[in-house]
Amino acid sequence: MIQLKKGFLDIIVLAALMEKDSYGYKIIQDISDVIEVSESTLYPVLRRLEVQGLLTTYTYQHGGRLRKYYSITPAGIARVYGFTDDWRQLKKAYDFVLSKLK
Amino acid sequence: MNKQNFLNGLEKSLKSFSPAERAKVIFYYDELISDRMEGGDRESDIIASLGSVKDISQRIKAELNDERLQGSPSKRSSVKGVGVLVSLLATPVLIPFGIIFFILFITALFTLFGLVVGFGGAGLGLAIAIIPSTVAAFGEMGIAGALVVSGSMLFAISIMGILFVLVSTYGGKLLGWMLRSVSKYVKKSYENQGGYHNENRI
Repeated sequence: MIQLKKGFLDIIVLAALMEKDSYGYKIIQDISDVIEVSESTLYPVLRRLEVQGLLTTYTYQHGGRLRKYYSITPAGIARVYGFTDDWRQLKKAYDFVLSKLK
Repeated sequence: MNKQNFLNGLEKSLKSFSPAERAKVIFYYDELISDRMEGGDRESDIIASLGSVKDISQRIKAELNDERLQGSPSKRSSVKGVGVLVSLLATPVLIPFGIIFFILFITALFTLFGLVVGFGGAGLGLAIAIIPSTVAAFGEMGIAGALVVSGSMLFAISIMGILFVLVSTYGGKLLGWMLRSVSKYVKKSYENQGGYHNENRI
């Protein structure tokens, strides 16, 4: 279950960047309704996604200091679509199991 | 605690990281704390909610370890079935590792065995020789010679005894430690492989 949640978190963070680039604080605000996440759980995720080439970063001036923005890459977008494909298959299996319970 | 204290503490706990890696973590927390303060949270509340510096650095270390064990990122570029590749890569890594460990372990075992037997044998030999040597020394040099010879031989026996005990105690500990650390390493690499498989199945 922990592994499942870890995988979900990666995808949810990527999905949060699909519409536009975002920064740490904003990402946490956007996804905290969907999944339990803290600053300290998000950092390793962002790092991992960057190392895997699923997102890139750049800094931008904000009120006299720098803010780091995260931007999804084509590989990252492909990963999100890949997740929905996997999920569709999983959903089929889930429905099958459920139908046998009735 | 204020932001600067927190960041200083965090920097200290990340001493084992490369300067670039450390700077990234500090930048991330610096920015987040500033953003949350701008959002209206109190500095001390924010710091308290972040958890301990030790916990943070341990999480990041765990993530870095995962990355190291799973190989370079280009090899697992989100293609399906990478888990299989990882296990294929990991197995040939484990085999030479196992052979090297086996050789080291056997070498250590035989060296320690040799030392134990050597010290024990020397002690035993001295103990057997002490009576005829003392008698012979008494015959040649009288009571003084007998005392000198028997005294120095007793001294040598006690030295051998101490070495015997030391080598057998610490040698056993060393062998135990070798076994424990290798089983820990193997277990860890298998857990990581397993973890990666699960992640792929989602």
